[in-house]
Amino acid sequence: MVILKDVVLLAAASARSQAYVQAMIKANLMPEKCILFVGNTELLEVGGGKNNAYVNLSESLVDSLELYETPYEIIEEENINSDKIANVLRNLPQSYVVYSGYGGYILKPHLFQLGKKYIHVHAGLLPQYRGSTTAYYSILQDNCIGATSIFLNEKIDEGDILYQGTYPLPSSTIDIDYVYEPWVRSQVLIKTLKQYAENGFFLNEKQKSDGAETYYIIHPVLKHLALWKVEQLNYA
Amino acid sequence: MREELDMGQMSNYEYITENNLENRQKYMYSHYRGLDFLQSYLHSRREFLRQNEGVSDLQSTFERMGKDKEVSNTSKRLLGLYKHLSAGKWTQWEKSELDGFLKAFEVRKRLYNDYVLGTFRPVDDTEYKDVLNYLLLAAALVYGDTSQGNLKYFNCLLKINDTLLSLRNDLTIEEKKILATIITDELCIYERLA
Repeated sequence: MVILKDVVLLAAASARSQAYVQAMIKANLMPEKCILFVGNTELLEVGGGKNNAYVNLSESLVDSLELYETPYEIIEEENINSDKIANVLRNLPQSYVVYSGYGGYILKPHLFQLGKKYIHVHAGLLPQYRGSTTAYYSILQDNCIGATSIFLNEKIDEGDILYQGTYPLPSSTIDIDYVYEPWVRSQVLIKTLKQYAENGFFLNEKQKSDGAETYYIIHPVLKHLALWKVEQLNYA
Repeated sequence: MREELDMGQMSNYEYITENNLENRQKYMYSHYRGLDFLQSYLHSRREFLRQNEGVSDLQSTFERMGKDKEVSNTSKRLLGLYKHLSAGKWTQWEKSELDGFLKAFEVRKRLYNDYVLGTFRPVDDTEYKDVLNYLLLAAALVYGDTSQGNLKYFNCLLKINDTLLSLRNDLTIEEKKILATIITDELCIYERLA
């Protein structure tokens, strides 16, 4: 197992975190430490889902980490912007934080004053697909799902780009929200971390604003059209 | 007297059953229900069109309404934007205005009668129930979609039309006619995608 120096994982109890941890294990890459943050610690003990070809949702975060003897710490706090988490981050020796948070929480400015660089994987190519539920818009407009790893900054989805890639549409039996999209993000994360392991630093470039578009929560009609499209492509 | 729309038939489509201005829709994590859902959506629109005819000249209708001295600053702004878009103009100005109002509605699910100059922050204590604001933005979004083909405009149009349909029993006859014209356009866009 290659230990990524100066890198820590900060993970919520979510399908995305499960996808990240499992992908890192499979790629033989692990951060120096994992910090799991959750309001109810029992959520970390249960898988919460089923196994499938992409992410084994029946395997809990704790099970995955213990299986590979990865050091981890649990913080009983769900709010990423809390003082509790800020204090933990402030005292971390590592500079880079791979962040997998709860949906709807945006990092507040004080977290950017702690001397850390937060690595986030957005489920869309940037800058063309900033905003929310971008996987579905991408299905409808581009017949693929993309993801981009960035250094977070105080603006939403405008950070420097580390890596980006596109992936084909999934089988129609795969849940996009809880399985395929987290898996796509995890694949881009692995590519990002592999580059870091090879180079010793994160390659990054400033995100351009030409062609930037921001999307908002997709209307159920459009979401249904996207999922219907996936079904039709699978039966074609 | 116009008959009340059949609440039972339209209630299968859950996004128009209550006043969306007071009970704001979040649209988050919607579950996939397959064709049944799409059919309930189509029924919600077609039932409204069955009971309401459109206007023959939307632009003239809006311009006449815009001459009313009671029209809000937001309506004046949106009318200006609509005129530009209907004349085929699409420069950085039209995009900024349309994207600004789109964001304003998407974030708050309301349109306010006035916004602080240079921003889309609502002026304190300003009202949000002026139907003309929503009709004008919906009509502008139709142009945004047809000229740019970017689904974010259609996405917002769906939500605004949900809001207007949720108010259908309180709309004037003229407002219903305008909405019928806009919903006809919405369905054309839907057919192109489906």
